[in-house]
Amino acid sequence: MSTAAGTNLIHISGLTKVFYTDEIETHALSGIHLDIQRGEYVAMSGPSGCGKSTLLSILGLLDTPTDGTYTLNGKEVAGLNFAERSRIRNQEIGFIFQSFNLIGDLSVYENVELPLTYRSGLTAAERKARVVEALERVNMAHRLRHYPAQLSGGQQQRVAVARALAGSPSILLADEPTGNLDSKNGEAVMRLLADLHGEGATICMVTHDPRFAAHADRQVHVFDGKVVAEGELQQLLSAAESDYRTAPSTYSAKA
Amino acid sequence: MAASDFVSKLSQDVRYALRQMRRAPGFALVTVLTLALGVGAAAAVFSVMDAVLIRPLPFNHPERILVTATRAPSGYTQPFSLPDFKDLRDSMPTTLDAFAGFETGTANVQAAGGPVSLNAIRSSDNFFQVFNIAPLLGRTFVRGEDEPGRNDVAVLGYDAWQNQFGGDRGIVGQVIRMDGKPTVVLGVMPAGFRFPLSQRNTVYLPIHIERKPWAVSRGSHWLRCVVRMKPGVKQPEALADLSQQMADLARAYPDVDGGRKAGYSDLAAATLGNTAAALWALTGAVAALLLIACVNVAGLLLARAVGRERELALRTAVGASRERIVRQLMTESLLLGLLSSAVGVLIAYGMTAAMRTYLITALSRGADVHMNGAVLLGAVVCALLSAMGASLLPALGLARLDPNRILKSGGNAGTHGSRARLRSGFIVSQVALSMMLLVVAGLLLRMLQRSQATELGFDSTHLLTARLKLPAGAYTGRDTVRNFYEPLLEKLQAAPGVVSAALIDELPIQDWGSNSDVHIAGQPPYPANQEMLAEVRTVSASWFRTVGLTLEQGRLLQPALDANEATPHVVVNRAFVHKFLKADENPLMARTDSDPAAKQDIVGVVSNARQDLDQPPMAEMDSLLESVPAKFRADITTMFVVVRGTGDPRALEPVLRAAVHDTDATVPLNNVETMHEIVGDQLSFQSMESWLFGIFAATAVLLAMAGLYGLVSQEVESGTRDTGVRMALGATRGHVLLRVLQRMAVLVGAGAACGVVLTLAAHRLLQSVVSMQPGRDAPLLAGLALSMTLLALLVALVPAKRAASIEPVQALRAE
Repeated sequence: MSTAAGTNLIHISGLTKVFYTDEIETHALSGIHLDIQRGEYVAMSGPSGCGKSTLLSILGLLDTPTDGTYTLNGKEVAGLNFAERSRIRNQEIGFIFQSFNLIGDLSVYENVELPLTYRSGLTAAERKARVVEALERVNMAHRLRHYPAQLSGGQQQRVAVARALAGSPSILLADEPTGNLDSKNGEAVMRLLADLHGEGATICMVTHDPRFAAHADRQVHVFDGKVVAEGELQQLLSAAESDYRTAPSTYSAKA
Repeated sequence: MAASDFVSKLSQDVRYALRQMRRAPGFALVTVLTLALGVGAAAAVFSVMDAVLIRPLPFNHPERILVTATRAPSGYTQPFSLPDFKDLRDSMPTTLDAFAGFETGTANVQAAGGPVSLNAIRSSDNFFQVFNIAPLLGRTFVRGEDEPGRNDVAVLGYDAWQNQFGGDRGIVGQVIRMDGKPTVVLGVMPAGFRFPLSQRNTVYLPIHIERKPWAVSRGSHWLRCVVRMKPGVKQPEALADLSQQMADLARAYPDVDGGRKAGYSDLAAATLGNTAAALWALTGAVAALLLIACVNVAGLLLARAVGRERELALRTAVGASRERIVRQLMTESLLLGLLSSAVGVLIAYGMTAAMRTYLITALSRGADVHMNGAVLLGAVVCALLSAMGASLLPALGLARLDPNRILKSGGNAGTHGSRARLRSGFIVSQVALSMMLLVVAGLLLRMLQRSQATELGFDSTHLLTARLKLPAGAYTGRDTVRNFYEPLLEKLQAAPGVVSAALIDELPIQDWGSNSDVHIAGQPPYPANQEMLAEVRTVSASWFRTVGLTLEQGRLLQPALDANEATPHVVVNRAFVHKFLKADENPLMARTDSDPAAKQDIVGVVSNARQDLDQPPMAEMDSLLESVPAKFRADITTMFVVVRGTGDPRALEPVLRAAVHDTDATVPLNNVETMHEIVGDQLSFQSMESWLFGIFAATAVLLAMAGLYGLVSQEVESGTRDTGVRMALGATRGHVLLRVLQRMAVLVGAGAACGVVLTLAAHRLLQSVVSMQPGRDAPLLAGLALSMTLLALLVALVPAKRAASIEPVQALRAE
């Protein structure tokens, strides 16, 4: 994992994402500007449907923006084709999902090895060394031959973290990594991410839990497809809550 | 109360099952068609097995009827001579009820629409005692009715009675013209009675031995015999009895009967010939096809089970018992089975009708092949059992699921891994069975191809043939050669479109012929155990030119030079020279002296023409029609005419009919066939067997591929999330495509390999059907396995491409 802290790893400018369903345009992201430094731990938060997961998908090159620029590690990546994006995902990005997304038919070892198998130039011995090292970092080396169904939720997420680490990516993208875990396991995963950050990892995490967001160096608030400041977010949230309370419901109107 | 509750629940299950079918018509259609194909093919083949192997022969106690023949010291199987038959019949082995002789042929009957040629069985007077079947009308022969002066009587077969006499019940006692002679109809046999079983449209006549003076010699073995054993007698006892009688004959007539033995064979086995093994192999093939269909349906049901887990978990959660769930699923299968049986019966009808066309020519009992009640019932039961059997595993699996876990997980939390393994197992087994069928079909088709490409030794293209049967009595005291055959050939030679025309007494490429012991003058007597037979034919001089035989030595026969009754001249073939003469002997200096009264000089040697498709060319000796002594020419009542044209030989038929009619309007023209059709008739069973195997194999492959497609599609669908994860981790579309194809290649490769191993293991069982040599056939096996794998990859390409086109963000978002 790259540890040249302080330099710009991600630069996003004027990023928009519009979804078209039938004749309805939904603006998921509207002119996002965002920079993430190497070694930085960024937490993205915001209410449901605000666009934070869409932003994370674009950051992870799982999705493409409708407009705007996205520079990853000094390279413009917004307009790349599927194969080039696959290669960058494989080499530069490590994903940690809310629902772990381990493959049930593969053992712990095989799950962690998976991204390495899509990378050319690695021998089996090199792959093995990386897998074992990644699993040791998350304290799961003793479960190499187990299958996901044989692990607890917390253990599965640790394996997912190891899988993300195995490829030595430039950045870890975590989408609600504690969403499917109880508080104890959730804390453990957060400690693990904090440790990794301590070792120099760049992390961008989506969470709506302020306790976990507090682990990050910086919090980015997303609201209605825009990045907003902390104070502005509170105002927007209060306004939205007030609109919700004062709007007559269909039910009460009929009553 | 309990009964009404049961009916209520059943009707609820049926309603729900119908709704399920309406909801997923594609699934129902594929399932019904798959099962129907398997069941239909099975029912059609079972119809054949039932008619040909299972149903008893249409005679009273057929197990007591045996076919008997003699075996010459040389090992050659021959019929009985008339004197030997008479001696045996008169001394009647104590183990027998009847010992009858017969010969097959034709008889010209003057019917309302003009002369027609019917199949004729000319037999000893006790012929019907062997079969012990009462006539439908009138009576059969009585003792003495095979003697000259009393033998102008006939018993009509049912077909002949219906077709030629309109089923007239007053026919008994009427006088009809048979071979030009007034003949009294004694009776009519019931429908279903035929002997030999291959003969239809038959008239049964007493033997007219007075018309064949050559046939009374003890050395002329021409009379075929059937016997009926006494009740309780076993075949070995009857054989011991007959052997004793034959030994007595050998002592009495050592010159002709010394060392000659007789044997029996079961009538059913003799009727079936060597087709039993092929029929059993077909049964095996169709069983494999049915199994593939069942496995396929099980796979389809298993795939559907994945999508129904949540629904069934909900039913369980609201109180449905495990038994109720299974019953509901089985009701659905029952409905599918009923629909499959209906479609399967239609398929079976179509297949049976198509097969019957071939089988009538190919098998003695081919005409008896019909769908009957037992087969229909069997098809329905088979479809129901198959549908329910195939659904049992998925149904039990679904009934065992933990509803709590499924509902919590939002469905699809079942044992997908084990199901995928099970479905993979299904694919491997389907491919293995398909592979076996493919290999056998491939080998059979190759054999057929080789048979079709067999070098006949003559040019069979553009040849039209027909059988001429002169009305008996019409030429009594007249020279048939001068008065009919020569004028006919002259007319044909002058006819437009005819290149050449010829006559011969036995066409080549038939499964019968006429042969005779031959001895070359000057050579020592041949050992008794050495077969020294040659096929003998009587031909017109134009024969060799018409069929395109090559003159290798000497000259061809010419009426001007060879119409010599005292020492007739013959032309022999190359096989004759190899068999009877040493390498340094000049065949043109050789003369046969088998009959000291009629020695034959060889004047020419021609190339070999195959007499039988299954055997290499046999020694043959051809003499000229004009060399038949004048006193016997009136007896030349049956000849084959062969006409060569330049285009489609069928176009020559009107010309041929006109020429025959102009020569003698009373002569019917029968069996008008091209030479290619004659060769095709000989291969009809082989051809049907090969094509059926081919069709079964193709259907099996189709079903296996459909199953494979279903498996890949289902795996792609249920693996969407995993594919999304893989793509998120860096898998390109190529990686995803390759992964799906790799998995299919492994499955199909394993199936094909299993199929090859199974085929090799079973090759001893298949030996009587198809010749297989692992070394020789390795390229075929490898080629088929490779083709199957490539086909499977092609089939898997569509769902594989679908998997590769998954958008990872959508796949993960759906989760």
